[in-house]
Amino acid sequence: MKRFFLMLVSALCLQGCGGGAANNTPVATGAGADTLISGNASVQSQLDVGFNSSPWAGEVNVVDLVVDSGPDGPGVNRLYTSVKICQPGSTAVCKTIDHVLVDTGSVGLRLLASAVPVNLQLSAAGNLGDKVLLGCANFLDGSFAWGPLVVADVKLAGLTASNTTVQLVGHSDYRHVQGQCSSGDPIVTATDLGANGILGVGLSQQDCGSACDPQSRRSARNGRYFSCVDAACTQVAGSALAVDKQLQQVVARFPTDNNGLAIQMDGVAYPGVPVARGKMIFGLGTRSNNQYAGAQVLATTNQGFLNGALSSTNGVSLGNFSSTFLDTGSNGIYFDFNLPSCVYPYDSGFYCPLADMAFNVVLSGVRSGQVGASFTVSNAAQLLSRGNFALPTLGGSISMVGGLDLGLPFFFGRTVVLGIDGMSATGVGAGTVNGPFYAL
Amino acid sequence: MPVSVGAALGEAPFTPGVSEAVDGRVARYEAAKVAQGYRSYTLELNNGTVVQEFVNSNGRVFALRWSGPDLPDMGMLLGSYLPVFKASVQAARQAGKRGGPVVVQAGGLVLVSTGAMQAFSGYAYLEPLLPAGLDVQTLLK
Repeated sequence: MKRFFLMLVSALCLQGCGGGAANNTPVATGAGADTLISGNASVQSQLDVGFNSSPWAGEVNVVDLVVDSGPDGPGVNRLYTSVKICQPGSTAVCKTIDHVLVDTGSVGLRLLASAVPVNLQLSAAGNLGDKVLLGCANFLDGSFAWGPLVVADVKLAGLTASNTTVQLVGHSDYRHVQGQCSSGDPIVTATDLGANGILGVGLSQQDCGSACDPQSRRSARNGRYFSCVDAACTQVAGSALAVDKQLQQVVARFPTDNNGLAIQMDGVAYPGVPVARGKMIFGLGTRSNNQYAGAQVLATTNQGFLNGALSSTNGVSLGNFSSTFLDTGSNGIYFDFNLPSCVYPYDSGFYCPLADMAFNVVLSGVRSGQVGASFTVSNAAQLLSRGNFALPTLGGSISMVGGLDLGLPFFFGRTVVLGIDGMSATGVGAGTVNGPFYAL
Repeated sequence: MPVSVGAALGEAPFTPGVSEAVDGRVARYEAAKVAQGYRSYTLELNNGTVVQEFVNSNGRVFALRWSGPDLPDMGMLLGSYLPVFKASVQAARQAGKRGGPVVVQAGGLVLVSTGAMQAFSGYAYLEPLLPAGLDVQTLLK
């Protein structure tokens, strides 16, 4: 009798376990890549139906960008797009998630687990039999993104990054935080983040690179990747992760149009608007719509920096900023300058000059070539008090020697081209160019 | 749940083998450099970020600064001052400030945290614990 019972149980297990059947309820949270991790969304959230489940109708390599109020919480100059994730190989078991931040300052796709429907089940990343892997990303304000890594097909416009590692942030089954993702505030809801996720489209190919690869000396204690120790994931340990298994630059994983991207934003006039629009165009020199022969290439340092020579509009030099970077994830233009700071309630490091201050900047990279540009800093209190969400001339201090953060306001009315590290492109300036670079 | 484990502002400096919960995160430790009115120690964290601690004549950490590819754990660096940091960033978030550098000046704590991925830097100090006559801004530059 007993032997028959055991045989029956194992037969059920063979059919139900690790098979990915749609009805299967994942039980073990720490077991490996045969674990299916479901989204955490409220019961209202469903898989795509109707329009969102139809094939992409627009240009194959172009998605819309928007700056608006966002899903929740206060915030200005937040650049958003919609991202579609699917079970690998499927075009039906998918969810289109709106208001995902487009961030040229980071790499990898992180989605709130609460934005993913419960009936979208994705395999845990990692090798079969290994424990579930988790990611940790810290932000300046002490918030952190903690959650399991899964594998999904990531679709943007008509392009698919197949079998791509994605982080599900704030998943309720994986709340046992560790290390650097412990003292701060965990990101769980759209209010915490001001978005439903972050699409990092920075210049690198991975989130961490060799410092987290098993070949590297200190890789298991990198602070970015962890694995569950027990099946219920009540304990985690630091883990190395091969570069091709880390969070990836999604664009580099497209089968075509994968060597870079451009961010093209409409101009925004003072004092700002409630909604601003733009486009993200994938690929450099791969189609008729991504040719940038007139752009000047600015090759960056390995950390992604340029040099910015600042001057007043009548040509007076105002200094060299050797850590200049372009970052759609920053909501203002941040640099240290003798401008008055705002007073309460806008006193969080923004500038409040009495009149507009206009600046010229000559940007140059580690190879020859330079580009002249200009930007203006207005009184932040005036900008912030009108209820607009796209503010063209918002500036503040950065408290970083040589730092010039050309955040989202710099992108308004411009096309900024990003060349991904390790990729080469024709059609940007003259000849063939290797990443990493910006081009204006 | 930050635990006072040494190495934090206002506490005794990091001591290898003694500062237990922190030990696992410190890859390299350099003993004190002595200067006028203070000593400094250098810690290299496992994530490659370097932290420099400044200790006054009472043996308490009055300032620290960091620089490196990833952010240090604020709980580890700020200890009992972590709630001051958290309250300050929460207020900034409510005022619409997101995604930029963090500046805190409250409850005796002065902190700046800035940078971008792969290149973070910052400093923090406690005004009540500064050695007399020390120009802390020049020290932390």
